[in-house]
Amino acid sequence: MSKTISLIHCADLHLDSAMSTNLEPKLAQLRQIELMEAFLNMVTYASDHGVKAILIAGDFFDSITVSKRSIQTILSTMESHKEISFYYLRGNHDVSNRLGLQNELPSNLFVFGSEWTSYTLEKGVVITGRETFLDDSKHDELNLDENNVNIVMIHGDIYHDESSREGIDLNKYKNKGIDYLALGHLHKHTKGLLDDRGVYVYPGCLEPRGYDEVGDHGFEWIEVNETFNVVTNHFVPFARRNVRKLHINIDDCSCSEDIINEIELAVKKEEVSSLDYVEVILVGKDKIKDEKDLFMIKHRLKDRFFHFVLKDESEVGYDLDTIQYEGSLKGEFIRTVLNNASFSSHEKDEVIRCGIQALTKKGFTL
Amino acid sequence: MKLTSCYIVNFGKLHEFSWSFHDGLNIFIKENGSGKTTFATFLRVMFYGFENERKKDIAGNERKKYMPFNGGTYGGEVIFTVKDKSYRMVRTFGNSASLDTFELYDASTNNVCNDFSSNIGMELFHVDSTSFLNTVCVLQQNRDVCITSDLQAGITSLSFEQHDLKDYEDASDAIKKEMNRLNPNYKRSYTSELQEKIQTLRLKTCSMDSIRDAINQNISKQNEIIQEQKHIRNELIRLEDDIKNVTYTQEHSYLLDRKEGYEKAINLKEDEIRALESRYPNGFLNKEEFDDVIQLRFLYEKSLDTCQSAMLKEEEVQRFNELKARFTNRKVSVDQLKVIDQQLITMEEQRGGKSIDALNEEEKKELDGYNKEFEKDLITKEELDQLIFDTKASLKAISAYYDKEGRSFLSQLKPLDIILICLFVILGVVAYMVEGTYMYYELLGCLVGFIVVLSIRKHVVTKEMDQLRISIKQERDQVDQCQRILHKYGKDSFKDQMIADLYDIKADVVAYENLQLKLNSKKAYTPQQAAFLKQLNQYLTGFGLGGNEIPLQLRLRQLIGEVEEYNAFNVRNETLIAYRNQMHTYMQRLELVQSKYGLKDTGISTLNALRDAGLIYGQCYHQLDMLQEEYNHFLKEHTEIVDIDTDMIVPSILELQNRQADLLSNKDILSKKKFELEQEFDEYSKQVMDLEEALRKEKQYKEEYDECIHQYDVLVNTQDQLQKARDAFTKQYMKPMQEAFDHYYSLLDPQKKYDIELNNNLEAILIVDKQHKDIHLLSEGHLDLVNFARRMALIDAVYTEEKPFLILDDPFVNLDEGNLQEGLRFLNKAANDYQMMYMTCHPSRNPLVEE
Repeated sequence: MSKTISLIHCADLHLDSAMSTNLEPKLAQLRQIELMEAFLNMVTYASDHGVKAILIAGDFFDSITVSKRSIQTILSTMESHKEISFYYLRGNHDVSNRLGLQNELPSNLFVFGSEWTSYTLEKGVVITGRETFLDDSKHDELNLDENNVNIVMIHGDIYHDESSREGIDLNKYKNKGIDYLALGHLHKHTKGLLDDRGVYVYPGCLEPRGYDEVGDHGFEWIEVNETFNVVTNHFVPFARRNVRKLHINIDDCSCSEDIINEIELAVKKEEVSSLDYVEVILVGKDKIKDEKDLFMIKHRLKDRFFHFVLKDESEVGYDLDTIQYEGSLKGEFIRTVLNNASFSSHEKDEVIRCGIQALTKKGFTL
Repeated sequence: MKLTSCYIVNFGKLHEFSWSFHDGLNIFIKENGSGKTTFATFLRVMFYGFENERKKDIAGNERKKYMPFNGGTYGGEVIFTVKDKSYRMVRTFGNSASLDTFELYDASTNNVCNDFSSNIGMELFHVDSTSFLNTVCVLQQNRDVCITSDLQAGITSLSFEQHDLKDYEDASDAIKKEMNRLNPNYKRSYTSELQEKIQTLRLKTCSMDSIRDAINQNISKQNEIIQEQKHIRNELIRLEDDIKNVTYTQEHSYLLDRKEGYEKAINLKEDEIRALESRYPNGFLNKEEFDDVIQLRFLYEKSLDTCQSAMLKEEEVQRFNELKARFTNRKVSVDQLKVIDQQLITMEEQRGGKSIDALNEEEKKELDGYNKEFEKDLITKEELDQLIFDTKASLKAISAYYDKEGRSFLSQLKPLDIILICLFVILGVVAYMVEGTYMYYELLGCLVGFIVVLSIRKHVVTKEMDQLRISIKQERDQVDQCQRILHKYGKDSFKDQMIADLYDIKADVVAYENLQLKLNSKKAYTPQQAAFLKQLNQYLTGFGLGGNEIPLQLRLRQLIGEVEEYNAFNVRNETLIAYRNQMHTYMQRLELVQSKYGLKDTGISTLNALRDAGLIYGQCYHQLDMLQEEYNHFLKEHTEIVDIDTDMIVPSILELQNRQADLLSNKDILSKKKFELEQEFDEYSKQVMDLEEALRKEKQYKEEYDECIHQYDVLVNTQDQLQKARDAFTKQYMKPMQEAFDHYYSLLDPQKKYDIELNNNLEAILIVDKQHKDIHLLSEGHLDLVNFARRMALIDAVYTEEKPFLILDDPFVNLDEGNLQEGLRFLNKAANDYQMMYMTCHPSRNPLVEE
């Protein structure tokens, strides 16, 4: 029987994040607690599933202002799970924090520095890392034994812009004997082939923190077959909450109630959970004669989800092609704007939308 | 639409007032304060309701203003006709709109009718109350005309649904309102507030870097303290162990002393063994080996002694070499020579007893004395004479030298020197006495000559003395040699005594020779004897012992002695070689031992030391075994002390406790420092959290600000475009409006004193020399005429479906006489088209009364 070792690769937990960008103080506090719970639950999950090591590839904490309570919670969790080795590499957000100011760190916590550091997890399975939040140099100093299973941890964005070359240059890590490049920094789960031998993986953040972090969140499950030196990996969704973005077409809506019904249908269809962050964006042609009651819609739906945001990006529901030939002020206005050569196409759209909204007394949603 | 009649129950000052209307011009002439304006207001309120109901002052609030003084029903009724249908409208008014009642009846059947609602004014005329006031209702206090959007919409030919021109005002107002809210140039705008907030937050967040630096410093300090704390913790653990050990050690001191004693003894013994092993790394001699080596050493030393004793001294070697040179190639037998000596003695005896007996006792003694004196070396008379001569000369020379050396320089002057000196003195005296021109030169010359003579002599004397010193050394050597010779003959004389002693020796030599002569005065040799002696003489001469001065027998014996000496030398030499060979053999064997045991030498003391060391080494091992055995036995009996580290340098408990106290004190200090730093860190953390929050807000505000600016730009553009669109749109109906205005204005001012045009807003503009001027430049009366013409043009354009009745509350009160007549004349003409309710306070403004 070949022996298999299981590892978990996570990153960007951003513990003790203020969470105040979108959330009111009470929800922000709740979400802070949930971020910590996500980590604790992941450790429990790892323990229950016989995981040998948890790789934390940077941004474990959100900033320097990590509370003592959080540090104590983390350290005591690590202490109480001696069967798991924790490999923690600092990212750009947690360059300095209280963790480094502890008198004693748990014996199963392994940290990295500005030089390449290697730890042997099991015979033939080596975890190597370097804190690259300041620079991504010293590729040449990364020397790996190709006979081992090599897991390499770094933190940073892969650069795509050849001119700026800021971030991690994946080409520099190719053909170095890496089986699994454990990255951190991107909050969305991303993976790809590194070279003929290895893969690179961003696990994304464990829990989303804002509306820009749409999609599933969790960690990457890694399995190393010791006999055949084979590494396999897959994503495990683990977040308590997810960010869901719903685009609701209001072409056929004639009143605010219709809009609510459309949202309800979309929620059912997309299987949106009441635990989720939900962002509803109204699109299409707004043909509602009465004023759209966005406040009412929001009020009706806000308690259905953890957090609810309503945006109206619908266009004014007039047929401009028809209106511009009318002998009305609106027609004259549209003709005036369309004939104005100093406006760009986008500016024309904006001015027409604003003018029509003003003339139809629909308020401004510029 | 036409009014038929009205009945006012109570409305302002009007009480149970009724009026019947007829077509055309209805004139109501009453003095001021009789209720003309109240009547006009009643008619409007019946169709549109009250204005300004929310105003608190009675003058501004119509409902309150016209409320009956004495109570009673507030309201009345109006009967009117629309499209040939007659209606009766009844309204009562309460304290508020909710208490108002509205009833509409078909006047012909008196049945309730629902053709119109309480909003009957709008429904009939399609304009609001304000537009109504600006057109058909001309009040004294409201003679100006304001063009509302309703009016603008009304004058277009579009259907009501398409009438969006009326939306312009609202849209424009809404845009303006939004622009005001977003205008970054207004201090109180939302955008400015955002900008202000951003500035405030920026001021706050600029300290972020310094706080981050402070935090990094704090972290560095904390790290240093952590390292120190770790060190102290380890030290304390170690001290704790030490104290335990010391305490335990003290409790078991007796056993530990014994243990230590054993260990010390074992260590000492081991040290001793190690020292011996170190000193003798190649081991030790056993007894047999030692006896052999010692025997060998004794043999060697014996050989050495023998060699040393046999070894020739320097002068002996010289002598041996001399003898070897003489005897190497010649074999000389001592025995044979002794036989010859015996033959000589026999021969001498045969010559007549010539022997020592020829001398008397005194001479014999004297001869013995001389023999002893001259045994080693016999100096001849000639040599003595020469020596005496030389010694005398040397002594004389030495004496002369010392004599000369003791004399003064002047005494050594030669006569010539004295003559020259005297000559120079005389010349000097003469020169002085003559006192010639060159006296001083002459004196100086004499002095120089004097000095030169003395100097030359001094130089000569010094040179002579130097030469004498050299020659006197030879003389002294001669004297010294003489002294040595004298010493050889037992004379230690000095100077003059030497010569005397030499003469004494000479006398002794002469006496000795005489005695010898006397001794040798024997019979003559036989020819055989003579031949024998000659041969012997030749033989001796061959050995360098020739010459007749010394008797033959003496020379023979000298040869015998020399041969014996030579033989003795040979024997010694051979013995030496033999012993040397032996010694070499012994030495080789000893060197093997020395090499084997690494000895510095193979002296007896060294060998003894090696043997002794071997014995000690054996004893040490034996003692060590004994000690180990005892120690192990002791440890077995006292297992409790096995773990005590007795090697440790054990300080006193007090010392350890003092150190512990110091460390604990340091630990406390560090903990306190760490606590302070942690507090500081917490404080910084709070500040950073605040600042991060501020940064987030700043970013949020900035995004909002940018959005507001963008929205403001869009609004500005929209306002501009909307204005342009309205201008373009209103141009379409301006021509008929201008024509209508011109028509009515020409009726009111047939002379057309002023050139007046309407703009897009239907405002009147005065044209003077093709220049636009403010209409308010006109007199108030003429302005009333212009506005009246605008009203009429608007009424024509707006009320196309149903012609309204006109309520004119003294509209020409400001006109002068000429204009008044034109105005009144116009009313009469207009009355053909419209039903009018004309009210005035003065009969002069009655249009029915011709001038």
